Amino acid sequence: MKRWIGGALILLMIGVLVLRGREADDRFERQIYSMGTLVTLTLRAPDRSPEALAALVSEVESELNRYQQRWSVRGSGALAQLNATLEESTTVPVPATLLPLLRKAKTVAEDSAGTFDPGLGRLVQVWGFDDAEHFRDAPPDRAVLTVAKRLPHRLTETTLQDGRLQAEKPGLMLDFGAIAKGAAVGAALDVLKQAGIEHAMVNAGGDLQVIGHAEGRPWRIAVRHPRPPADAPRLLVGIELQDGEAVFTSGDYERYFEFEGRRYHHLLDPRSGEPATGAQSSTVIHDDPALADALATALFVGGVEQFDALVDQFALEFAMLVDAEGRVHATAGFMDRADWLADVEFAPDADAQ
Amino acid sequence: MKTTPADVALIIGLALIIGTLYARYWSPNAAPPTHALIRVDDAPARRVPLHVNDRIVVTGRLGDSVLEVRDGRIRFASSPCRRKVCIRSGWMHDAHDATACLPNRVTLSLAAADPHYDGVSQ
Amino acid sequence: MTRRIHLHAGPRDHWIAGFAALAIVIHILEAGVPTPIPGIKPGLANVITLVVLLRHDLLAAIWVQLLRVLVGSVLIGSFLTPTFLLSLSGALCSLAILALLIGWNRLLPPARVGPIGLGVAAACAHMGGQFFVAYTAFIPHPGLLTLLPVLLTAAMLFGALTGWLAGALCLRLDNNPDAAVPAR
Repeated sequence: MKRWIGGALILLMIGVLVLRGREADDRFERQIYSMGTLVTLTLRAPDRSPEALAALVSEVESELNRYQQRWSVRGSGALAQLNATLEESTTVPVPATLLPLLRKAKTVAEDSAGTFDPGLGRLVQVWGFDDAEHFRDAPPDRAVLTVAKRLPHRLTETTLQDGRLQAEKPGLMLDFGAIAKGAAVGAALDVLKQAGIEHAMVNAGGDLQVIGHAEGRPWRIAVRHPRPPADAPRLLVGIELQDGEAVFTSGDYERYFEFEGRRYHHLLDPRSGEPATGAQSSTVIHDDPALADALATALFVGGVEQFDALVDQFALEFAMLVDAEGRVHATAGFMDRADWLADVEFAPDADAQ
Repeated sequence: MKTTPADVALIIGLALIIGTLYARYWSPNAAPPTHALIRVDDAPARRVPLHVNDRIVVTGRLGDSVLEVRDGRIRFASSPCRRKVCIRSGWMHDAHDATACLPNRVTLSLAAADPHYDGVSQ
Repeated sequence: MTRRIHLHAGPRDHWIAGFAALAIVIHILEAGVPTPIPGIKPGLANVITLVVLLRHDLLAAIWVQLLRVLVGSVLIGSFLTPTFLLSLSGALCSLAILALLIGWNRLLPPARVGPIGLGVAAACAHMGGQFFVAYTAFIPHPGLLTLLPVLLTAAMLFGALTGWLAGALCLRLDNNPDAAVPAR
């Protein structure tokens, strides 16, 4: 009799201790490979069957793949075709599938003091960052770069009217790598929202947006430390997110190659045609994921000099920049929400508003 | 045969300890691993991103082990050991998944994302 | 001038060797059984160690246990391999715990630990010792820690089994209910 009681007690205790650890039980998580990265979908819908959720994930996957095809500079999607036309011609009709994001990108480009411009497609190609699978081993030839910069490489130097894009010269090549992922993440969440999902997170390789909240608390994310000290946590700061917020981070550690001890990353400065040197990483929190994507890039390229101006221009409440020396610049709103997870050196406060 | 009261106490005590170990090491991680850690002998771990398909060769005590990264997962593709336990472990894809080629002194594990956070922005 | 050393095998040596041989046979047979996770073995040879402990003395049990690990590994061909080191550290840890518990039984007879308790404690100590060496010397991986509670659960179950078997064997051997409890 004692033996049975003992056995039951043991099982009970193990059960209790194990179950207490399983708070994330009602989450449905899947990973999709799309947009050149690993996209993690986290859904909270305990009233739905796993089969239904799996079917929904397939829908999201299809939508993401559509975006990938549409905005890819390689292949024969809508953007690739547009670029093919612009190579020979100075004018091109913009298909309805591309127009809204193109308009948005153009507006941001015009207001970003040259730090964000999808017109740098040819430069991206010259640097080899258009092919996610095979990066270059060494920087391109000086001569090749000079030629590329002589070709039109600014969307700001075009006009968009009645659905037609007009450039000054042929040879413009558009690359929406700095904003398309944002749009795709938003579209993925739209699929989920339309299916009635209320709580979810879409994380495309570190660029994410959420709806609703986690179990009994908001979604919590952490921003990666751009230069984690060895054996220390790789996280810089933690933030709790409100319904609908997107967090986008641009970092010099995501896509790069190294040559002779120097790192050449994929965040090109449209003004110089070379990888931007003003920052290690930048983070933007915003309700519009496409905007968050574009502005994270703009802040990165703009570095310390443009931080305040860009924050003002786009009325950014939650933004952070880790400059080239590793010092953190952040808006007051960001500071209020930030839970710092590492030793941080803050830049002397020029403007904490 | 009797179990003495001390027996029962001992067993309950051990069960408690084991239960704590389960709770500690088995709490599920919400964020998927983004990197794998490869260690050869006691050299510092090499971090390998999982979003870039790749084949990685590491040299251990017996020779070269080849690891394959594909679609966010990683596995031993080939190894110079005799019993190939490492290869038969298959694909590692969740945080804390781990396997090793003991004879070659090569270990493979998936870095755990911080369970406190639902996702990492990078 | 060479000196002759005379080794006399007395009756004690004989029966220690006999038990050790039994344990070695069980050990080798068990080594042939495939296990899903390397490191998890029922450890049935421990029954012999426990029986010797219960019916004779700690020193005899130590001899049997160490002989079993040593000779067993030589015969299997794993002498001085990592496996041998793991076995040895496990054996040493379980012997240490058994020594402790026997001492406890001597000091506090009302709170004595019976064969099942001894079996469980020895098995968990054995597994714990093996894991500790594996973790520190061979695979210093956080991932390995997720295996620990599983291994210990198995050890607890198999330890209870070997403890019960040892106790039952003692009863059989003596036909005396009190023989199940350590005599001293």
